[in-house]
Amino acid sequence: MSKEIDNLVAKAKDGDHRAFEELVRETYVDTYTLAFRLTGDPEDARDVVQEVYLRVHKSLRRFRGDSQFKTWLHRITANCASTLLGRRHKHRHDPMPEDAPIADNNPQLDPAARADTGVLRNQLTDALRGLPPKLSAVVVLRDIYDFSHEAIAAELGISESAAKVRLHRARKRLREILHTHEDSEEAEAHAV
Amino acid sequence: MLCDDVLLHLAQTPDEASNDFLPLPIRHHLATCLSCQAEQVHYRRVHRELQSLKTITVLPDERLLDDILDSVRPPATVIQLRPSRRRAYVSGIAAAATAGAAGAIVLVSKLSSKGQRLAG
Repeated sequence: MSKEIDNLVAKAKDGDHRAFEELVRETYVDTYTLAFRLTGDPEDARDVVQEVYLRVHKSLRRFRGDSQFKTWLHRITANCASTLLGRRHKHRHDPMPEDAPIADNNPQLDPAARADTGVLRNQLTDALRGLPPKLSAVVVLRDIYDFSHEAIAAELGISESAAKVRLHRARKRLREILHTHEDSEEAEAHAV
Repeated sequence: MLCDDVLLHLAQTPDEASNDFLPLPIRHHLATCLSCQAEQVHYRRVHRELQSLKTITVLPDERLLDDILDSVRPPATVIQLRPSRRRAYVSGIAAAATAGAAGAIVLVSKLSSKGQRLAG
């Protein structure tokens, strides 16, 4: 797969538009997934993905291949999503403070279903969506996409230490949310 | 060492599989504190689940691909498409004209045969 993509990148860099289209076909779902995880909104994710491929189209010739194409694509996606979220934050009248408590209105309290790891995954996905974008972006990039602290800082336009602090807060929040779920379940189990 | 200090470390490094990377005082604390051990397990579990999201994709709506391709399609490609459309238009007009002409011939031939009969 990676070799195929490398071939397509090489051809697209030489101006082969069909190769570029094929490259889009091969990668757009992955790009959309990251954009959706960063923005938490399908329409915003769509906008981000379109912006990403416009940027890729314009700057593909400058892609030196030091990193994998997908890594490069992820970095552009993170950057575009950060720009969009920054713009949105400027126009938002009720910003969510970073320390605001996160409420999950739909907790999974069924101990039998809890045995299924899919439940934890769903809870985690919900919890990620409930985090302020600043925090969720860092944890998504680090813990799902394996970005380095340096890369996160560069793409989000923050310092490395800020990236580390946000990551720590985000993990703590996720941990707290899931811990609350577990406590509720235990209480429920004892009550029965 | 306080549990809070240990928890700070655990939140920063849940991706490490072993405790060898941790400072010695924290390792000592972890060895004896059940509460912190439980926290470490929870952090690692959350981290594992986050990692597992790597393989899960979110599917966009069907129009997205076309929209992306349209937005990056070079103008030359648009120009290339035009002759084929033009050919389609010309073929359509030619077909309509042929049908019209054929109709006219049939009409004229019918009228002329009627006129001959009347004259006879």
